[in-house]
Amino acid sequence: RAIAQQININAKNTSLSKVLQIIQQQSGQSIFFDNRQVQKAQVSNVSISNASLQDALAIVLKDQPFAYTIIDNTVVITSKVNAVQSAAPIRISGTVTDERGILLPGVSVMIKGTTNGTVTDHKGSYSISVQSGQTLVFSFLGYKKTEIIADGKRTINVSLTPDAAQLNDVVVTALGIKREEKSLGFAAQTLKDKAVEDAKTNNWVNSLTGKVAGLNIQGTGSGPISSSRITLRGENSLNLDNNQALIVLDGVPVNSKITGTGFKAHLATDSPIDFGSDVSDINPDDIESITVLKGPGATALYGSRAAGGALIITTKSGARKDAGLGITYNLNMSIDQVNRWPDYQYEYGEGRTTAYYSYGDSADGINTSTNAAAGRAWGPKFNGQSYFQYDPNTPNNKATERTPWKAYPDYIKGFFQTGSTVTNNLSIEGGNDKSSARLSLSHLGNKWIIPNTGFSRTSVALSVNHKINDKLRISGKANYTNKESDNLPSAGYNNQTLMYFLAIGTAPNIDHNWFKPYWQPGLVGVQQKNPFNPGPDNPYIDLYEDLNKLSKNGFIGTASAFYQFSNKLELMLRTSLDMSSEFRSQQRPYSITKYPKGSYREENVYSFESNNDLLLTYKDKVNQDIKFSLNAGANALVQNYNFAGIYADQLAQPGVYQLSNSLDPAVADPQRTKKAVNSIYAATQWSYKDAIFLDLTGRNDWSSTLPYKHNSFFYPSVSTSFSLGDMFTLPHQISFAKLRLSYAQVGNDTRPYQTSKYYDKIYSNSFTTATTLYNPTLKPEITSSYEAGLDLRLFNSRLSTDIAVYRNNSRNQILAIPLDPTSGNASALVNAGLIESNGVEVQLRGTPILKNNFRWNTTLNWSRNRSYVRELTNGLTSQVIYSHDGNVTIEARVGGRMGDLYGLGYQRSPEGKIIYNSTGLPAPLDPVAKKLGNAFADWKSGLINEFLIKKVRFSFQLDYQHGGKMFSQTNHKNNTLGKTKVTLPGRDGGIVGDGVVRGADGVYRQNTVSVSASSYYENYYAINNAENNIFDTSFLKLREARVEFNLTLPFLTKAGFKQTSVAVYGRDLFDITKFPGFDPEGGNLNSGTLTPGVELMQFPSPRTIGLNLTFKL
Amino acid sequence: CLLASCTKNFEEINTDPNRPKEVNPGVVLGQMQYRIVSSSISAARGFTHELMQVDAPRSSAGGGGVHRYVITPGTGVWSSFYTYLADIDVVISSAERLKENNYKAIGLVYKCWAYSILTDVYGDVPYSQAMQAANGNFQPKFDAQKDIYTQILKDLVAANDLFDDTKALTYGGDGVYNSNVLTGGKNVGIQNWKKFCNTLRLRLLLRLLKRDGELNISDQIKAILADPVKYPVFTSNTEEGIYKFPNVNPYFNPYYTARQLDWRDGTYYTKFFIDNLNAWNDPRRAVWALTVSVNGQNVYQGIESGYPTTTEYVVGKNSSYTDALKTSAITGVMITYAEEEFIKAELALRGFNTGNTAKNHYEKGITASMTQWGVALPAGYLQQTGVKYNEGSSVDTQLQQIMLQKYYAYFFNDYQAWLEKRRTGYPVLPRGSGIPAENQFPSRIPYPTYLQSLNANNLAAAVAAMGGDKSTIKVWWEK
Repeated sequence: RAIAQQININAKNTSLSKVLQIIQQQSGQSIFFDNRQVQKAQVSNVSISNASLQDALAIVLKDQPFAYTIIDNTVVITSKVNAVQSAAPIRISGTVTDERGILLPGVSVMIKGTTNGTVTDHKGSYSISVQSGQTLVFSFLGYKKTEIIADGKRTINVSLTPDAAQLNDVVVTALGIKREEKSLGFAAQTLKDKAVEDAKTNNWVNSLTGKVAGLNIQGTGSGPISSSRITLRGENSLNLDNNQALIVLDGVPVNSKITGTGFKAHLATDSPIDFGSDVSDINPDDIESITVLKGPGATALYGSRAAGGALIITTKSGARKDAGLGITYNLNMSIDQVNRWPDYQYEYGEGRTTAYYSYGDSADGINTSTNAAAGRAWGPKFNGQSYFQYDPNTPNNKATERTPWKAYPDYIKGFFQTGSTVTNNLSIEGGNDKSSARLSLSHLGNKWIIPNTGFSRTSVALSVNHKINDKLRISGKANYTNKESDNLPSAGYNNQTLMYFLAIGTAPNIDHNWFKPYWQPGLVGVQQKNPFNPGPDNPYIDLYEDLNKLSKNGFIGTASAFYQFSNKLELMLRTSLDMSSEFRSQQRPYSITKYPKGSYREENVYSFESNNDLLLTYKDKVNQDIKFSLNAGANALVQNYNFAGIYADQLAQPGVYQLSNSLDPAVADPQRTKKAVNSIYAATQWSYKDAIFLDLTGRNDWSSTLPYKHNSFFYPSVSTSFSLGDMFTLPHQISFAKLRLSYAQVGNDTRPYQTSKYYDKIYSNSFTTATTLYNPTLKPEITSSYEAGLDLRLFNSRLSTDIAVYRNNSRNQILAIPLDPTSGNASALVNAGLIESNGVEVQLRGTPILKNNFRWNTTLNWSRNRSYVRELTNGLTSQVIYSHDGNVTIEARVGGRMGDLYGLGYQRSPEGKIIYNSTGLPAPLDPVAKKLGNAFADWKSGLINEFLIKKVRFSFQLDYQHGGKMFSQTNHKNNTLGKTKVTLPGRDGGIVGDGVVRGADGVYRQNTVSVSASSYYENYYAINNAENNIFDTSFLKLREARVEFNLTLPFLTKAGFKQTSVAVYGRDLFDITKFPGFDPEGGNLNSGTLTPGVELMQFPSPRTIGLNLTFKL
Repeated sequence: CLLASCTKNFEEINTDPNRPKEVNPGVVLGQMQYRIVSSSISAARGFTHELMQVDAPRSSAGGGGVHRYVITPGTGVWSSFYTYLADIDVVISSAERLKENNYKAIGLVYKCWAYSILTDVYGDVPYSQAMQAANGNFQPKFDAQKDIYTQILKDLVAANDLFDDTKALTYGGDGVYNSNVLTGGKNVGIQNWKKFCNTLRLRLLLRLLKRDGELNISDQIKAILADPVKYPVFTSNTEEGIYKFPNVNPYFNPYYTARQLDWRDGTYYTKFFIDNLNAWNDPRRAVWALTVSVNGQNVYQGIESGYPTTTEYVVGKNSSYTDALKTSAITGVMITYAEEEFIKAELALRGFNTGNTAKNHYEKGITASMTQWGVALPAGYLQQTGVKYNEGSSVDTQLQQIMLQKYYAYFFNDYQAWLEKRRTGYPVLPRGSGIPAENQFPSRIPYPTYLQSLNANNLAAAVAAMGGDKSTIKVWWEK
């Protein structure tokens, strides 16, 4: 492969090792040499242009006492002096493995001081003749050189130790430009494939939590696909959707849009269903690395969409160090269980009175169950007594005799099951001098923790690289994904969701099996049976009849061509596509409350994005010390989105889910959007003595979404990097030190069709004023960012730290500000606001133990971000970003922080005591909304530890979040209905609330009036009392734990397996938190927007335990 | 052209292929009529009925509740009515553009109807600067109630003059009257809209009668009563302003899919409401209420309102709303013929020349309400004790009689029963024993809390002008 490389060197009076390094860089070829000998050598004058690797080496080494050999793609520089031959050489053979026992092919094995050597074969084996007393030198890129003296043994097996001092990693930056880490003037953190493969999740994004300082993953608890929101460095935009990081897969920006269905309480509109996005569909097995570009400084070249940072994903491509075919098979099996429950009580049963219980009227009294209780558990204590209860065996389910009054501990938990996920992944890769390719096939089958829900995903990924001639190289990548589900659960606070039922539909005395016959006898498919609280629908109807189906085909592909005009000038052309076509249906049977005559809906969602890129790169140098490169490029982006919904909200015949079965003319809901952005950009990088680096970029965008005459905008960036070790003599303890400073701007446009007036369709044939006021004079929004960072590595890189501080100003934000409807619109699109985010990110990495058989790596990520609202617009001092029916709002108030939660609380006396009324309950809430906390954490950290002990790798990750608040609808409902342990005190004797009553004389006196427990808690946790329903979301989670064994069993090796490993892992194993709902990392899905700070009947979070088998052939 | 500067088609790309930039009034009117009446009757059911002791929750352990005079800020029609007022403005402006006077007049009637309810419920509200977001005013000032009413009364006169009963509605859309077509060369629907317009004006003039001197109220009343050709009002049930729910998808009665739990398991009629109907053996009772079995007898029975938190009425043991009302076509009440007769009864009582006696109007009002709810007036009903109009009694006693019957005729009619109680003090409602002594019968609903952030300065000015934002503050006409 290296044969045809074009090598260009022009050097005077430099060291040979430097020249060899240049050749290594230009050829991409590993070159080994004995450091001490080669480093002494100097090169006086060498000038090579367009030479092949061999020619270049021959020229460089011509007058040197060295020779080279190419053995299995590895260049080995050896001394020309022949070693003294011994009379009796012995043949030594053995294997070379890495620290985990994985066989290493291509390891150079040399006899010290000679040119004799060999390279391990594809099974990691070598064989060489030596004389006793000679030293064998094993070397391999990325590992420490190991020397072993031949002492007569016939077999020498070697385990190489990784070299921590990899100072100069190559980082993939914006537009796929590869850069030396040393030269970067902004923060970038690279994760390897292990980050998403070690403890697999259904949505790979969730694996990133805690692994990168400043990266925030917010889940929604909305189902098996488990969509999440990715933000870097906090919230810069008042428009929550704008804050998400851009995901770039092999140069293709990937659609993170979740096409939401509606959201609303009870019956108003449909319940949200998490269908996932193109991002969540990426197959983690195909990911080679993820580079996190945190701020605008890093992403300015990506333009508008990367204002919130970017995740650059590089997929595996088939480029292998050793030639030949590689086959990897990976089997992953995992089970999911609910990892945490609210603190349910099992001491009191259904009802509103503790006096007695009766299912329907009975000899004991009138009905206290069903609609009388309406899901409340304020009934009698389980004391061994007997009542007339539900009887599944009588026609009207009324008992003929009293049965023991007891709790069913499974009355909620019985609705859940152990979920399971099986993933099979097979990849084939290989290459030769000119071409390389990788094909991967993957299938995921998931059964979720709620019965009859789950999904499957099949992915095919193909990556091809081919060098047509010395000048032209082409590559193509294609990812196809098919996602199918027979049922995804409805989420949210809604009549059709299981979680809603569990809060208000049942009580501890009710066996969950009693809900199982969910049709009335003789009325199958026509009339549901709902034996207890008739409010919510029967839960098994929710699970087995209210089906939300999905079938999605997605394609992400890119084709690139690289043409090298000369060794200085290269052109790249790339066209890429992200498209998906999705068919969804939602069926609802007769007799469910929202749709008495059933419903059937179909939605066809087509989304398309194409990007055409052109990038011209010129590299040159002014002299030995000053080098530079210039990039100039252009991009044309086109997005199409076509949503076609057809709704039949009454069915002519029950159980027939076809549009033709619509009782009324089916209603169409068409939405089409189109957007185009053209851009040109230029960038230049300068370096001085490989010690000081300067980057300048500029980009101009023309966006179709902005007013036609003013749709052009420009933004620049500048960043610098100072490699202190190359500028000054540093103490020897400091292996590397870099200081970086950057300033950048990124502009942003908006969604289509915001600049002129339109009328919205309502119902089947009518129109209404658009709720959001258009704006014909919109300007682009501009985010400016200042960043400083220090990268410091000590003790041969055994300890390193990367610290970044930044300030982002986001100005002229385009967002829909809520208006009082008296203005004529519910919201208006404006250029508004100045949001300032300040933050610190710290990454600490260490290798406390580094021995041949024992290595301990540890990484601590810590980040803190504060986003302040500095200005709003049009004289506004406050803006509501999200409102949960007015009970709690997320507001941006000038001077406040992004994510501040507002709501009502108690009226309080001057001493701060709760004011009560004369009947023993708190007085009406103080009508002035108060700030009750912030939805975002004070700080977050993740601690990752990895232990490599012989062939065992053990790792675990702890995540800690400090602070942050969330409103819990789950807790509100559970507590007002008496389902939780916090509602137990006072059940027998009543409660005298702690507060004061204002007398007629104006004097406050202690409240002395007792009220019943149900009255007290119903009032205390009333939904509009945000003060009592907002909770701290601090948590400590054992996020991941994994033990991996590498099996180098002889029979496997003989069978040709290069590596076989088996691993057991766990994810979200436990959490410690005071948050009373299921998971403090919640939020809610609201028509495609993930909203933090408010949880609306989230699903439980699963704990995942899995087994992973990998075979490499 | 060059890749980057090639933006010639960008204007076209940024044009929505699925939404029109202009609409005619016909495609806006129908949905607006449906949505606004759905909102107003929800206010009747959710607020007025509980406050005015039509119904009460069967359990109210949390201590709050409208029936205990605990009024949550912003509850009510603020955001819904203002949202629909934007569409009313579209009806008016597109009618002006297309020179369609009938649409414009209908739009004006809706505007007056909606604003009268808003100002009666909240007091001073945004009016002259409302609906101006498109002109850059996101924070309208609040207008004094007196100024709002001055303009409403003018607009109703203007609308009355605009109605043209020789023209059909060109683009259809009317869901209240069938004014979309002509019948025998005349548009009967437009004639009815004209009557709606003047009946509404009469309702509002009566409400403002206490402020007679400030706005020349009695002269305006006299002008209407004196010229029924120029100012026609309702003369029969067929003309009354009720949005009849077609119950065709999606134009269902808003309670069509209400859960039994929400519709009737949690709410009972009150003793006050049911006891009168029982005493009168009122046939409307069967339309409105379910019977319950007490000692083997199927009876109508109500509960106390404003009871203590310790009280809980068991489910299914008292009368609640019939399921037929959930899907009824006729609950979309805006303004009725019955009300019109009760207005005239009071006007006659107060000495206006209505062409008839108070007694006559009173009896016609009762009869009209029966007809409206689909029942026949039973023989002897009007003569029985408690119903029989007592012409010989004091004006106040007669007024009390009129107002009690008017109260029953206001079933499902937005806030009217409460507004009239505030104006006249009638009907006298018993005070529940569980109402904390400090709670007073409300005179308004406090402004929505979100105004504190969305329109703080104008809110503060309005609160200062009104003397506070409490539910006990009296609006201009009630002072």
